[in-house]
Amino acid sequence: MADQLGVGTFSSPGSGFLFFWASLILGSLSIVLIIKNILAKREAKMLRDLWKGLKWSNAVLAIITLFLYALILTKLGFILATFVLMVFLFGIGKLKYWVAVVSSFVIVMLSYIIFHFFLQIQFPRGIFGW
Amino acid sequence: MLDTLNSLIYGFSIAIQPDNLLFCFLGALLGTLVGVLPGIGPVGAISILLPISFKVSSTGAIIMLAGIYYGAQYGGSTTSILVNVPGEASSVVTCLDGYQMALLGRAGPALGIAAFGSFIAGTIGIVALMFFASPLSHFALQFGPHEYFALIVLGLTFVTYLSHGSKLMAIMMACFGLILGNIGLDPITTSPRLTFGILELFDGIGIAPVAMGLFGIGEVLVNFESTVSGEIVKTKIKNLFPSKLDWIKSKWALLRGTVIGLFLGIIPGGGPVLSSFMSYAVEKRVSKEPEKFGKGAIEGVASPESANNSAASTSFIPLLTLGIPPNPSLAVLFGAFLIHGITPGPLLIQKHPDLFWGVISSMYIGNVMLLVLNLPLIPMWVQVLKIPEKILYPLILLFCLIGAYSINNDIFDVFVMIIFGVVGYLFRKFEYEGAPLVLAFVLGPMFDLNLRQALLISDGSFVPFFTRPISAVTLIMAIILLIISIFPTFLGMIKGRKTDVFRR
Repeated sequence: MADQLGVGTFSSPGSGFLFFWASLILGSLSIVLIIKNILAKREAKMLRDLWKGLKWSNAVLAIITLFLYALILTKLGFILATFVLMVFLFGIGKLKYWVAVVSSFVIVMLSYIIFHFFLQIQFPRGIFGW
Repeated sequence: MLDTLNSLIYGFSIAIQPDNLLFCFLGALLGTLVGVLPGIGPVGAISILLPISFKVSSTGAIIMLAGIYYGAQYGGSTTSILVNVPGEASSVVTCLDGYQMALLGRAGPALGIAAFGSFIAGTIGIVALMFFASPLSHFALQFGPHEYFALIVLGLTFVTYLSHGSKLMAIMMACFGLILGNIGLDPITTSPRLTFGILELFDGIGIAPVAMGLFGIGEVLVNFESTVSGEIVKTKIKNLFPSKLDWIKSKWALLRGTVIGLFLGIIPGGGPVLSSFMSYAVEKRVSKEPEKFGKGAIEGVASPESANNSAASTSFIPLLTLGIPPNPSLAVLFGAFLIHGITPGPLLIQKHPDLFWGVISSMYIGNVMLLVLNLPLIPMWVQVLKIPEKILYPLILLFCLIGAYSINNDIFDVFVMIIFGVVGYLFRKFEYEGAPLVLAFVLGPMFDLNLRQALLISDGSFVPFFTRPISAVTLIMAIILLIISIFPTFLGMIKGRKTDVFRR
């Protein structure tokens, strides 16, 4: 890719000059790292050990929720999309159902007042126009 | 000297304007808050508030964002002492003796000496910043692309050298950051680079979504899956004013910490984290009772807390005079300058004296505010620590989302931030550090431009890099650091040392 941009020469470095050399170092170091790990012989940690004993599903759910929020934000508008987001996020934290709903409502309203009215951020209004 | 004092008075006339005072207070308050709260640091906080700062004057915005940076150094000690969880990386070492003091029922003097030490060292740091910045700016006017390139290389090498994990992985992160930072239009040929036809990428990726993703979202995701939470020491916090004996014990530690911070703050790549560790190590070495360290020695709190605050002040020197941010927090602040149409560097004092002196003067005021915020209001910060994580973390995510969206009122930035959030989460899992990436990301365009300009000037020869004195000294330092960093890795490979695959 750097080649397509034009690496150029040392006397006339092109657009892809830095990309080429940075990628080369990155690639070389990756190979070194792979060799190092092979030489380390396995008294190594397995991949699953990184998530062992953790509530990893919480992180996965939060990531999915964030992506869904980004997808629906412009369609549903800030108030509704953010309300749904907060209910989900509080739900991940196992907050009581009614506490999650009330807290989400309060937070959405407060953030709308602070960010929209005071700081004049233009949020998407969505299909409902609010 | 007289010129500096006159400029300072001018700076105070700007800093005491009601709106700037308010921004200074907000910065100090938010800085203490993010310092107190584990899970979000100054990088995340500055990034979140970066888009919101568009709405205010450039001086007010920088005053507030700078306040968050140095305020976080104050607040970080509170959690270190009371919960044994550092609020900030620069307060990690404070846990060692601070928490032990709290367990011994001396949380008050520990918090007190941390706050007073921070105030004294922070103020001395600002004095140094004030007197060094102007001459260094004049000196920096002589710098060409060779010198700038060398300084950037040194900054990046320092950050990789100081990374906690594998140096090899830190160098990889720096290279990755350089690539990411240069996405967008080439400043020399104006041809698009790695934009894949995506219009939003023509201006490059913004620092705010990247930093918010890596340090805000990534951190929260890791905390989301955590099954343990810190326990606050159940002790009555009394006697916040250290006793006469405490002062006698810690006065030299405080002074040594301040001096170490002053010097290490200036070095590109240095800053509060390095200074706190270094000062603790020095203090333990010079102490007549080193065995008391780690068991509640007040010197073990005074020294790192003063070091990280004086370093926080002096780390503004390379940013304001050379235009080179020395650490990730100031890299984001550098982004704030650029967003407001101001380029930090040698010409900053001449072109924007109001901003330069206004910010410096506000730091004096901010330090006084922080002392007030951190001593009488300690019980309030303890209550803040009791906010349930299941409420706190969703709130941080919401602020990140709002922050990212409000940069350009564009959902694209939100997606970029979430992607970098996932990347940041995985980086933490695989022990890749975000700091070299963020610094390289911000310095990337300068790195590329200065390297290419230097090579064009010297017709492809690398010799001028080593014949120009400043560039030569800086590059040699960087090369030595680089060798020290990666030599043990290769030595380990040759010896076939058994290492953990994820802890290289």
